[in-house]
Amino acid sequence: MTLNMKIFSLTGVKYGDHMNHADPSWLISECIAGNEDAIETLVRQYETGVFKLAFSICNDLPEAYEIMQETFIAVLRSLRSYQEKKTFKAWLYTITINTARSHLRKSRLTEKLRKALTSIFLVEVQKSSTPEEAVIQNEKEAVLWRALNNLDERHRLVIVLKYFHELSVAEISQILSIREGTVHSRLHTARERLKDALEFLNRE
Amino acid sequence: MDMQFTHTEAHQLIQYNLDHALNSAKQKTLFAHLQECDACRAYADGMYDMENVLHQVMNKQWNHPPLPLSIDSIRPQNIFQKSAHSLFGLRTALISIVVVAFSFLIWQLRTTVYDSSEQISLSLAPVPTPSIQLSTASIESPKCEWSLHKVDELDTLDSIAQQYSVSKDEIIIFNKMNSDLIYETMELKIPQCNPTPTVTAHMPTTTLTPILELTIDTPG
Repeated sequence: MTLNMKIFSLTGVKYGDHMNHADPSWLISECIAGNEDAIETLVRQYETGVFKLAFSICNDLPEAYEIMQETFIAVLRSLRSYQEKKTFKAWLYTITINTARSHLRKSRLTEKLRKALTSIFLVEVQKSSTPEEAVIQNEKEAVLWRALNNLDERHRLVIVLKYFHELSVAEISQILSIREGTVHSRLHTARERLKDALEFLNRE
Repeated sequence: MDMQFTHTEAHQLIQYNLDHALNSAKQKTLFAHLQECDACRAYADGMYDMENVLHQVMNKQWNHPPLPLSIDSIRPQNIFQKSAHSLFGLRTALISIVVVAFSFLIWQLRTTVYDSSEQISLSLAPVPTPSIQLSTASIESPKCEWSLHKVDELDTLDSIAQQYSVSKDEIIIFNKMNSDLIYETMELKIPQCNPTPTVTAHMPTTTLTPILELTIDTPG
């Protein structure tokens, strides 16, 4: 079996192309069977997407890496329970988002703890300037970036999924388990807020 | 064609168009409206601008190559081992809890048994030992004095027993006689035991009196 898989991965370009978009169910069943090459193929295929999604939610590279790792552990563990109601990508992204959320909750807790401790010891901790400030020179982009970060999670997430991950409304509704109409209305609201932020800058 | 819908309806259509959710017929009507209506066109342009900037920002911020994820760290064998370990740990924890609970139960039971036995011996201690001592004293000390009695020709064993107020059997046992035959010139040792202070000696005096009273009262 493993010998066959080696051959597959050597000549795998055609196979890979075939697997990539159409139907990962074959790959999934191989993963469930414990085929390591299949697992590697699966991970390599989706790690970029998962990493970017995690990074776009938590905005911190090491944390995104941790989330990616935890996500794949959870995915491989519960691969058996994957049902084809959702597309595999949507299922994977749902797990990623849930993992990221629990991570954020933890980091928010530690942040609170840190604040509490510093207030006890009356230590002023200077927050180091976040890397994103350095990257953005363009004023428009800075304004939009801030506006995006000021959105609440519901609206931010749909924007991120739509514009950064370029998912369709149907996929977003699957990932977040909300109706497509809700996705539309959230996108509508979020876009108008972002546009308002830009227009406010232009008016000044 | 020109004013088929209001601005808010137009905005709604523009939003749907951004979501790629308009069919071609609706798209046509929307574009026709946008050519007529300046306000809606401005709104649409603003949206498109915003989208462009948004794409740029996000790509600058997040278009980061993923850190290389080592397959070893997520390998399912590890997972299974982990789960097996955790299962094993859970099982041992459960077993140890059961063992501890069981031994505690046994210990509890044993201590209660000990307690009760101690209590029994304590409660028994004052009562039986004196009675035993008394009874043994009454048995072990038959330091009976005795007197000699020369048997007359008129004497019977019964009469002698009556005379000394002892029982016939006592005399027989005391003299180690083989039968209850007595004859003249026979010398009998008559036992005259001290009235020993046994419980049995006291008991009849206390219990007899009421019985006697009762038996007297009823016929009277």
